[in-house]
Amino acid sequence: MVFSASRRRHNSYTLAPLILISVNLLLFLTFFVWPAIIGLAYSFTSYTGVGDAPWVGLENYQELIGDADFYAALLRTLIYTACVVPLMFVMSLGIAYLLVSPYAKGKTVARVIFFLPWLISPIIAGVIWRWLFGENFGLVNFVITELGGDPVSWQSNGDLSLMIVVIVATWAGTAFNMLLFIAALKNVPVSYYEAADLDGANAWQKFRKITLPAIAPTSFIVMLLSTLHAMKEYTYFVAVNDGGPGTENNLIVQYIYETGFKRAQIGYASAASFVLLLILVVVAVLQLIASRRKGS
Amino acid sequence: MGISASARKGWLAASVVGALVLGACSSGSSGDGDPKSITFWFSTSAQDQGYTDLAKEFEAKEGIKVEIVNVPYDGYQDKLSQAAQANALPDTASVPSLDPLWVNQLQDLASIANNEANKINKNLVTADGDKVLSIPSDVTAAGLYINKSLFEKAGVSYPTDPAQTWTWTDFLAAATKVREATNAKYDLVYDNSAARIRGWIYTHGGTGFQLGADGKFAAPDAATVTALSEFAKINDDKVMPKSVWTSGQDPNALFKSGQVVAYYSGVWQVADFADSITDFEWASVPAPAQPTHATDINLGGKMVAFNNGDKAEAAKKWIDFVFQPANYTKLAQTNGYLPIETGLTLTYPFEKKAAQDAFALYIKEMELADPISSSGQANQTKLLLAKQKVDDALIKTELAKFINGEQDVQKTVDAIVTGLNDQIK
Repeated sequence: MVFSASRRRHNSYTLAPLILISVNLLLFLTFFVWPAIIGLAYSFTSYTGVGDAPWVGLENYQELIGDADFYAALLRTLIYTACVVPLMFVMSLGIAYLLVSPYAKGKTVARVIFFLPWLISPIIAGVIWRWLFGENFGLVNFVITELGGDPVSWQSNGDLSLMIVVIVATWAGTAFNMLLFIAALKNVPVSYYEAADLDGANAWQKFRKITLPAIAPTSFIVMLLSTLHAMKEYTYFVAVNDGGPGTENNLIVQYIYETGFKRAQIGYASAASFVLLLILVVVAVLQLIASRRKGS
Repeated sequence: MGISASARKGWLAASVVGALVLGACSSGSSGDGDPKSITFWFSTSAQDQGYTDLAKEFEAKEGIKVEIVNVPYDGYQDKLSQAAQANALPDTASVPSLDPLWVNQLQDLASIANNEANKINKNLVTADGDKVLSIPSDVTAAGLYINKSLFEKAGVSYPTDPAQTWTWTDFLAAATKVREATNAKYDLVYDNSAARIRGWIYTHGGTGFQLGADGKFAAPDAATVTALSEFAKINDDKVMPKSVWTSGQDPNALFKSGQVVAYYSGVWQVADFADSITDFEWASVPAPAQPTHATDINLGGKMVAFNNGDKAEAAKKWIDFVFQPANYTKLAQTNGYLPIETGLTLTYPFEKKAAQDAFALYIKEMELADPISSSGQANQTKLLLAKQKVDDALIKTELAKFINGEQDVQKTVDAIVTGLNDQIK
């Protein structure tokens, strides 16, 4: 009796949720799992996009290990991520901290202004910054030459051009992280700060010893999402300088796109995609472990 | 206003009913031996009046109605392949490119292409042996534009007759003189395109990237390699801004700023320039020849007739009608086409004299152009007939790497040849 009752309960708790998630599950299977499986299968072939896909085993992966262009793109991606993630973290936390401060005036207006870049499509954001930092007729170079300086090669110098994209991505991505931080900062109990005040702690001590630990879960999410996002960046590079100069700022996704669609090496590009996926999984797991350890 | 609006509604209703009736008729008559209507698919975002006018005349003459369908360019090629699989291809069409999937359903247009009266440029028709698969409705050519106001301000002269054109050395010297005299920023901007760089190579006496006898791309000749080195050298932020070829800067916008002396692009810019350049005078000038007189000729829409049973004959009649010189003249004038037929007298409906002159110049340039000028599209046709598809956009990428100093010229050329051949199965 007891057994069958528990089994029935078990059944009803399995079936109803299954039905409820079935639509999502179906979409997930059709548009995520299935293409991923096809992609994985293609990575073992020399498929060109038309006709049949001859099986080549691990050849694509072996070739990838010796591909200098792939490493160049991967290195550039890591440099970009290492620049943009900390910068975005500091910017969004800083702005959020200012916006929840009881001394700040005009918070609502400021919040709208800081949020605006998030509403602009990445392509448009890229074009705006291209007008500002355009090497030939950009506003910044115009001002520099009017002041008597020499125009700066914002586009045809690889490092400067990467720097512009870091600025654009920070400018555009700060808003969303700022919102997350504002919510987290507001949830830190005021009594902690009051107690610290009584103990005579200064602002920096309060920030380090109370605020940072209290918002650690949010910080983790922001770091994780920004890192994954930065590793997959494509739009800003295309919009600002087309991955240029030359192919110097081709990040890994653009490399995959170019080989897959411009050079019709779908199989090879699929292999590169799976390496990227693997790297992203490793990044996510590492950050998860780090945050667990900190939590305990 | 109110009356005209309601009148328009009335017309709309009438034409909807008319279309329904016609639709019913055409589907009913498809079994007859004598078709009353045929379909014609094409794609344009610009002028289509030329075809509409010709269709009316065709109906008056032959009693066959031509239903013109303007298909959006994006997806046109897909729509055709789907139509082929569903056995619902149009009777005639002007297509962006032929597709191995339906190429065997095309009628032979040799009688039209070879008709001496039509004077069709036979280098540009797509033929499989003796069978002519398509005749282009028009051609496009690459060419040079100058900022005429800057030239006049600097008091520097330029050639106007393609037969007495300048060399690249002369042209660049003249452009530098103009730039320095007028305080302009650059001598030249050059379209970032695999097709346009062909013009540079050919005019420098190179043959570029050509298919060999084995159906694969061969290593280019020495003149091509030298020409590419020369090209990289002028990307020095004085003669040309480096950003166009390395970082995706828009050359059209740079030229329109009025701060660039010259722009190498193509005939399709004429209508745009006529409309949107108001701050300065521009002119189309003969492309430099060093020593070869060449350009890059590409095809506009490719006119085809499908083998659709009892409509096949009417379809071919329509194509024949379009290419009769008197009719084709009207079509080319109204739609602003560079003609595929020689010996026509064309008056284009541009108000600007610069635009009129530009078309006249392009027509002369094409007559003088070395046959190699059309080899780019000929290679594409060869590949198509061998059921291959090759995207040459990687030429841009490899040249950008070269200009940016990431690799030398030999490595660039090798990478281009390998990259193109990798796409051939």
